[in-house]
Amino acid sequence: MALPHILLLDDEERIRDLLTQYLEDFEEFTIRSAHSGEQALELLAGEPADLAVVDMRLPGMSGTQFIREATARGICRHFLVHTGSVDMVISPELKELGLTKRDMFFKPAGADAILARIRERLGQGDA
Amino acid sequence: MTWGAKFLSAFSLNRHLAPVLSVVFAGVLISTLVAYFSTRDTMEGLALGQTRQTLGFLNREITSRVRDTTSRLERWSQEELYALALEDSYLGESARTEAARRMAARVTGSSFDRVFLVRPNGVIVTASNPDMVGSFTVGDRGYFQKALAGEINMETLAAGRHSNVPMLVIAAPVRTGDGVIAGVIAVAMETARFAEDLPLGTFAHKTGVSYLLDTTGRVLAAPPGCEADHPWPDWRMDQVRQSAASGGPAHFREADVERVLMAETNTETGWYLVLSADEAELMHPAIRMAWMTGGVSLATLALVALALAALGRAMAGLRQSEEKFSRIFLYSPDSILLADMETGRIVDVNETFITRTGYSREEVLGKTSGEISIYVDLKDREEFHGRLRRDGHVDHFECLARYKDGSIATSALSGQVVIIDNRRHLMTIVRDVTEVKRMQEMMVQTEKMISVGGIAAGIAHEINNPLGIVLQASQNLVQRTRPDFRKNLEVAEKLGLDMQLFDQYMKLRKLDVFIEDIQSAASRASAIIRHMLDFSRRSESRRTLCDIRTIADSALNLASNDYDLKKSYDFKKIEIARDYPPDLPDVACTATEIEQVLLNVFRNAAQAMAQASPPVAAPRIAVRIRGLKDRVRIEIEDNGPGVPEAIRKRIFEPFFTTKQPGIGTGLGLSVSYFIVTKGHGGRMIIETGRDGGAVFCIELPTDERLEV
Repeated sequence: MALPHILLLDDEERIRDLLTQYLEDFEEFTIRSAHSGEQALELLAGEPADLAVVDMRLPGMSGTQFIREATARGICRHFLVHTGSVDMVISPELKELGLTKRDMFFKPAGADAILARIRERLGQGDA
Repeated sequence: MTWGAKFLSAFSLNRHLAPVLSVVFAGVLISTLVAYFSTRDTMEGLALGQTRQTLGFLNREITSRVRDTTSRLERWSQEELYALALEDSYLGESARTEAARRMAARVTGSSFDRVFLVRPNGVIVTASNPDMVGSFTVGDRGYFQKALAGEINMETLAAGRHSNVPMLVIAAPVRTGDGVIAGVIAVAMETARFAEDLPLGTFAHKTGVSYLLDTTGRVLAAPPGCEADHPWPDWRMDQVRQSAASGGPAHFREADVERVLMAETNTETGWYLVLSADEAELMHPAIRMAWMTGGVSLATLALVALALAALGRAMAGLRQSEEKFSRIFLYSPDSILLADMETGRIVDVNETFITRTGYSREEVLGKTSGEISIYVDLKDREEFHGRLRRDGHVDHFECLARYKDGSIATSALSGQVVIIDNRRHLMTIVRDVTEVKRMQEMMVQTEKMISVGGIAAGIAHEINNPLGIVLQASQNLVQRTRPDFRKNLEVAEKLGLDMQLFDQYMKLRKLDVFIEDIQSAASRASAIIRHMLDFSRRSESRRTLCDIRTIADSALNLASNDYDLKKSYDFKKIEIARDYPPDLPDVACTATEIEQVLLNVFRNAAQAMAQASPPVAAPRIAVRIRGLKDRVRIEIEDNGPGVPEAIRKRIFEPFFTTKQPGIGTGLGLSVSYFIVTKGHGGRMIIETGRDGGAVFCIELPTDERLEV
């Protein structure tokens, strides 16, 4: 059975790598990462993902724009937000795109918590 | 200083001056009126008296002349010559010649004009003027008939038959030797001539004129230049008769001039003697004198009135300023004390002083401020009084005051030396600035917090990213050193590493603890950032009407389950005393925020009691909620060691903490303070409880409008 595809989108390399290395240890997912929304869209165009963990503040297009674009193109089903932003509330736009408070992770967020939510979302998607 | 003010101050504004001056005013007014009228009356009386005197003199003069003439005529009538001259005999003829000569001689130099002898048939037989003889008869004349009847009499004729001018005729019977009336001898005088040498024209006044009138009003004599021989109209004769009868003046109007006349009747002749003059002239001296007397009095009166008016104004001003002062004294929001400068004893205090300090008036009057120990530090009193003596006044001298109930208030004193009843007094105005100071501190506090919030918002994102790396790296470390993780075992096996031994090494060398330290440090740093952000965040959450009792209960519940708290102290061991009112108005607030505030305070109380040495035997937290007029007050009192003064001032400062490092962020109370004051428009203060513990008072306004 093919592993679910996860895309990690963050402009900070260390964060991308740390989260990738944390998640890959479980050998449950196929993990790719991108440093910008544009690059991520390219990657997903090649092969869609089941879930993306998205940073909000990015060079080029913003995290929100990326989520909207990817949703529109149908190249990713689920999104989690992983942000260093101080704005502790979920924006109406993200709400519209189907995200809930529980999909919001504010840095520094525990990788274990993110993992738990990933499993939860993928479980829902499969159901 | 104006003259008037000097003048008034010279009198020290004696309040009895006004009534005294009023009486003087009234007195002067009355005396002025009396002087005016009496002078006028006197002078008028004088003028009229003078006139009356003149009239009397004239009257007597006329009477005496007439009498003189009458008595002469009577003597003449007894001379035999005239009786003879009336006879028809020869002797009579010669007697007539002699009589004519004698009569003519008697006319010369006399006041009368003619003398004539009349027979009983009315024929003039001889006369001083020969042309009278035989030219007319007088048998029809009254004087003749009366004389013929034996009576010496006189008559005023409107017109004589000889001269056709007004005449006075005096007639006497002429008797023969045996007493038979043989005829009449008469003297005729033209009235004008008769009056000629009377002082008719010498009347004292310029416009004064004197007249002789007969009973019908015919002018018998007038001064030179005045028309005589014409009758006066009846209306004026009425005045004349009235004046003659009463002896007083009569007023009338002639050619638009007010004139006054006085008349007397001459009893001998029946004539009216009339003096008439312009009233203005006659009364002029009287009026002038009256005006002079009155004028002097009026001037005095005006001066008194001016003085009275000035005094009245000054008194009114004084009354007003006194009233103003007493109002200020009574209703001033500041306490005011009045003390004698010499003795220092308090003479008066206002209501504010009484309500604020709790002392009754009786308790402070007659004492010095030192004796009632209102100064916390008597050195302040010395300095205040010293500066007052030196400068005469002191502005805004700040010191601590102790009220009767022992509470301490920061007070600003302003003093001024005032003179009351010629004694130097010290007026001290005391303003309680405790609240102002507290507000100032609050504002400074809030400012600080806002700036903290601003900084946090700027750096939070930049710090959160590295913190994320720290946290996740340490998580990775933990995961990749676990001896039970499949992937770890695989890699270790390839290397020939015993994961169990590795794990032991980690623990022995405390690597696991180091990693945990890194994790918790990152979490703490992230918590600090998050709390700092609370200062800048606008409260997006909606306000709802909440029951504070419910919020307090849920905060207590959270506290008892608080994990952090459990590590240092078990909240469940603390006795919680709830004191809630049955009825309480709802407060518009954000429930979660107020809950957070109360939780912070509970947490703080529990930690303070836990840290106390010796530890608090029976820890207790009292939660009192009270509904006040426009706010709800929450008091949270613990029986811990309390908060020292130095710490109390800083307790709401961001990052200020007395806890051991690592426990708390130093932001809990400061965030709470911010939520209450800035977010909800309330108040948060710390006081000392009766047992010496800390009392946090939170007041939330009930009238805060709901933000929808």
